[in-house]
Amino acid sequence: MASTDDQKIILVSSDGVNIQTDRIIAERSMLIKNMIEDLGTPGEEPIPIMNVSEAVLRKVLEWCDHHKKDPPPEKDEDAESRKKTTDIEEWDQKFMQVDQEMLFEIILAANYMDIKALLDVGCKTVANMIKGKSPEEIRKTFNIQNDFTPEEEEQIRRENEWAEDR
Amino acid sequence: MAQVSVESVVLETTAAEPTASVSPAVPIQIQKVKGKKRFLQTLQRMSSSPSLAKLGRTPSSSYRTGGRASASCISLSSGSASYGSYGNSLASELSGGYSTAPTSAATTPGIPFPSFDEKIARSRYLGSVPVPDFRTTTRIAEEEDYFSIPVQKPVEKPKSSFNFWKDLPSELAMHILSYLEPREVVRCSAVSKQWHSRCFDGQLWSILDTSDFYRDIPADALINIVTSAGPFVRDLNLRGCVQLREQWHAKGLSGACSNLENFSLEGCRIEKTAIHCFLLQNPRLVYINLSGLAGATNSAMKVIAENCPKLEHLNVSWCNNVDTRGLKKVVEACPDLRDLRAGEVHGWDDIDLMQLLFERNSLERLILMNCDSLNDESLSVLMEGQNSEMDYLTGRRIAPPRKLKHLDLTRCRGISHRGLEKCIDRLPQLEGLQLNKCHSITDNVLASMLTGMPKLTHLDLEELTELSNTVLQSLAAAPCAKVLRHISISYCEELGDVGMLPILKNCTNLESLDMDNTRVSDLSLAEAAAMVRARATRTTQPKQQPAVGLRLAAYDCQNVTWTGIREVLSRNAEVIRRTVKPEPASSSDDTGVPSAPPQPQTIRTYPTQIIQLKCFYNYQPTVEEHTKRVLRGDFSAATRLERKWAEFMIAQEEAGASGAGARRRRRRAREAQMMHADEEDGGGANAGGAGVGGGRRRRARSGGCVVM
Repeated sequence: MASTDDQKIILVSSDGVNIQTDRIIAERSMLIKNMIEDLGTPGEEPIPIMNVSEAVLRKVLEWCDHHKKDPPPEKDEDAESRKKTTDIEEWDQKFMQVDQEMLFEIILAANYMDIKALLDVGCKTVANMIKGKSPEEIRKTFNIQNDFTPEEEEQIRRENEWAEDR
Repeated sequence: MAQVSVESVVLETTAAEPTASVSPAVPIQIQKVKGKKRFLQTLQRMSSSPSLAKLGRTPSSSYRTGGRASASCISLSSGSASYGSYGNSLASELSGGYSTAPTSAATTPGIPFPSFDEKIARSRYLGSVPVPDFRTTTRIAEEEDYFSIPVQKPVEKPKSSFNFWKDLPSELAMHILSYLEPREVVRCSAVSKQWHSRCFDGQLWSILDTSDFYRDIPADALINIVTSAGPFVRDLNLRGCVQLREQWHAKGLSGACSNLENFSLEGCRIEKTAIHCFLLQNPRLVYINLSGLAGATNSAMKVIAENCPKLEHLNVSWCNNVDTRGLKKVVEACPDLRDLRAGEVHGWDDIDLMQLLFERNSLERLILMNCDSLNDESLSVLMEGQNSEMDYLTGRRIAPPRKLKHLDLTRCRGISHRGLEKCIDRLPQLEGLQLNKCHSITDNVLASMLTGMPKLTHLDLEELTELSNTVLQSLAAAPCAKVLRHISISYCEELGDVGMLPILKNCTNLESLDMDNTRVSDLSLAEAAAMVRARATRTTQPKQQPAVGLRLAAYDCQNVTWTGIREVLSRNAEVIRRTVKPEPASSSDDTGVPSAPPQPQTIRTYPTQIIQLKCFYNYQPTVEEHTKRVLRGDFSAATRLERKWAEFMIAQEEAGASGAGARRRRRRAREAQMMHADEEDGGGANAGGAGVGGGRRRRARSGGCVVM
């Protein structure tokens, strides 16, 4: 296994483009890691990543490359903790400065490829886009249609009054 | 990069694979190893989450209806019939982007908000997304258009057809929302109906901690959240939610949760039956806090004993209606109980309970604050059992060491040094010991206790007037000296510098030290300042702001004067200049002064740790202003303030002296005072606290008039 570090593997994006990358980078994805382990013949055969297009796959691999030395995540015990922080490290913040479609695709790809840390970063980025905004601003940001009737809206406004910023 | 987006994915895959059953989504070049390839594909299909698998593979018709946002949360979903089938049937079945609405409504009973007709909502919703005034017919044409247009869509308008939240699988939307604070989640619920149902989905509320908003949230809103989250709630903290007073039984609140593990009702006005109701419904409770509830009684303890075998933590402090008879049942029934907080609970002279606790030896924290009923006999049973064998050599009973890590005997007036003697060498694990106001503790007993507690980090000895400096000296020599982080000797009127100096020399990891109302003098303050200075590293980066390393309370100490306080302040703001001969290769960016290589350069170092001091109330505003400046990293301003203050204090002392020139000295004192007040105000204005500063100036001037 000493050669794992510089082993190359080939990924195939959903649009049929072959992308060569280091095994250590690709294995940030648990999907790929499990597949390589199950196949047992890394490098010989291209691995299809069916739901991820080339552009997104390259972007994801860029993230994996930067984070290839990260220590494995701690135990999942506080995964559900509400006190989760939405702080994002600087490099990731820059990395996530993409338009909403790309962000969306990255989140989906991270979920599909099972890269928990990247999924978290993506979701935090979106959460930060929501934070501190009024419902109207959120609608505008994400192009969401307000489908409440005025009466319903008024009722909800009254119910949520306590949560408004003081 | 971003141009290649959802559409392109869909287009590609749609072209590549017309049906879901045969799905060679990727034209793989190597054709010979068929078996392996097939294996790969099955793997892919298995490992992908169904909601996402659909994304790539389903025909565009299902994509258009937005059905793929739906099949997440399958485990909870009422629509689980469609799980696993990715075809058109699913797409038609789960129409619209609202598929989480039924999910949540079905699993979380009693959502008070009116459910709505999906189809109507959907048509209204979709009808107006692309362009506000679209009619339904044109909309379909538009969408089909959208799918037939390849990627060349204008980049500058990416939002026109892409809809982040509509296309996002619900599980991921939940993941995103889970990063928001409760208030923000509630605020978001007003965005749209889909958001509303997501925001009140139980998954988001598995930890419901009201501590940030218990004052603001009205009872109705709180009941809404609790009842709609219902069985999802694992941690429920309703501490101080008095607004629920009359409504514990309304709308099924007390019966809503059935999977609670951590549960706090501290300070709620809740009646007995509602407490029982909660306890009966939640057999998995691990942590129960009923502190201060009059409604908590021995029968509630019985309910806990019968229902909650996993209990590890129980807090019944200030529950007047609970006594040790009830607690005994809990201790008997809950083998995992580690943490028992029973401040002001009666009946601690119960030998049987103590014997039980002794035999179990499972408690790690025992809080018996204000338990007058605790006496020497029951304490000794707790420590060494009732009938343990005697060791005739030492005259003590043989008992295994206790597992206790925290013991709080504050104001247990029933115990004396005879009871505490039994604790000697019994508590090797102890980390926190509180013996506040336990009078009649003697130096010898306490000193022997401390030698047997190598892990002690917190020691509270408030108002123990019997103690003398020798006990502090032995504490400084005790094995715990290096790990001690907090010491309180407030109101120990006999303690002074003689005891404190060795402590400050040896206990170098102290983080907080309360020595108000003692005899300590300026010497201790100086020693503390020197200790912090010696242990903290210094930095050459002026921008690195220091942190509070030691909190020190030294108010109401007769022997502490302004000079001692000044010593602390000047150490806090100390910038050491050191002239060194530069090494040839080193850069001189520390000082910011570009210097030629042969000249010696000055290196300034700044403290990284400071002392936060609480002192005589007259000095306190100056000290606080000074600390604020130091914490800001503004050392020169802090030093200036300290200098002005010192001038003022000296002048005032001179003015107090009688004799010739008194009037002149008083005038000087007044001037110094003005200067000092101005300095303090200036800093205050910088930091945005001008209002307070103004008040101080007026006070300072009127003080001057009084002197005249």
